[in-house]
Amino acid sequence: MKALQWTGVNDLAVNDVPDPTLEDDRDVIVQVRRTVSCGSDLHLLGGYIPFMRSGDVLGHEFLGEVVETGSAVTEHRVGDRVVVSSFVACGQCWYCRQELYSLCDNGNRNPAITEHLWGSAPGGCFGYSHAMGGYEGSHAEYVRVPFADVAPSPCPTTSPTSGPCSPPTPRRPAGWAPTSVVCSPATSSPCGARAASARWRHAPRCSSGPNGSSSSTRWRSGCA
Amino acid sequence: MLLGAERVFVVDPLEERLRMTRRFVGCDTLQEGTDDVGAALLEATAGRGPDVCIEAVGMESGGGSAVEEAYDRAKQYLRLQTDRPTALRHAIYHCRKGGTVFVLGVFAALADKFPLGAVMNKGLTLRGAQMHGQRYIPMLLERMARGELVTEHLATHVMPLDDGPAATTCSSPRRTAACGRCSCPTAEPS
Repeated sequence: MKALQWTGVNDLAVNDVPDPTLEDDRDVIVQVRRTVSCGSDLHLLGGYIPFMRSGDVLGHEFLGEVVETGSAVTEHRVGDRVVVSSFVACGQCWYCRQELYSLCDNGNRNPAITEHLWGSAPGGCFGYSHAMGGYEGSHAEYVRVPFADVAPSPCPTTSPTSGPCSPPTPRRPAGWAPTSVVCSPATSSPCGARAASARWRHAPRCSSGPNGSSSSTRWRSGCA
Repeated sequence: MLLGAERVFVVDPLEERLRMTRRFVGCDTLQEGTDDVGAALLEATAGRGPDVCIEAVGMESGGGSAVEEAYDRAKQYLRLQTDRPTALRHAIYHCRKGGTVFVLGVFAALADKFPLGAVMNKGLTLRGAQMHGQRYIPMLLERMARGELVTEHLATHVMPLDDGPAATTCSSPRRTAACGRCSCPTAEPS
């Protein structure tokens, strides 16, 4: 697959990299539909976080479609459209049970770095240096999402012209003409049309009440 | 505002971002470097200062005096500090006595000239966080679906993954002012 790799300070390249695979039965693989360049990508790009290695894939804010699920995943099926939290959290530790997910004790695969630096390690984060777990990021065609029953949130169904899955509106503010815009068929088709097509095999689940997903989150993480 | 704040000011040096804020959020704005930020905040709060100041810039902050900026950049360049905390110093300075300063911008490790005296003597509460997405994203998606949160305007650039390097760097305020600091270009795998 193609991915955007950090290849050095202020140096990026789009290269072919190995497709992600399921490494744990709680993983899913998400085909990325939208991935956002965050301000903190600039800190990583500029070498201000000294725990990047050449070849690391950036990107930690994304949504997409589940294309493969581990055997222990119960909350997601192939075809689900999901928004994935940038932080990797187990959902079961002391911090996760209090819904302090970015402080998860188990999300960071390299806790020694931040334990030494800060006294204790926060959770992991996609595409955010080896200090934050060294997870491959979302500026790629596919990304492995660990602890998938905790991290991704289903996209609610929305009107064709608004909502989290719809393409950006062409009504941009005056004076905000982008320097470069590339429109593809996918970006010009509204969300509702895509949801109704055969591409999405399962209708996204939608919570009716404002607290629906929150209670669902608590249930998933084992908290009453 | 959405969660009940009586009044919110956004402070930023770039007029383009402030225009976006006024148009899509509807709160007050102050331009760093042009407006007298401190006087305006005192004027709006009966002379006390804001109850809560949220620092949302992080380790590459600017906006201080020329001396402050040169000092912070030199120390960061020489690895004598990892972070430039200019906006955080301003947040602590302008916050009212007994108020809360929230550190939301991304910092790596160590910063020099931290105004600890103000934190202690003004009785400030200092808080910080990364993001607890699993807790808040479902609520945010529901608010978006109900139309309470509008986000389409944040996707100012939609580019294919092949343009990833340009998509990443165009959100830098040094390259173009046509983006917010976060959530700017949206890359799509082609």
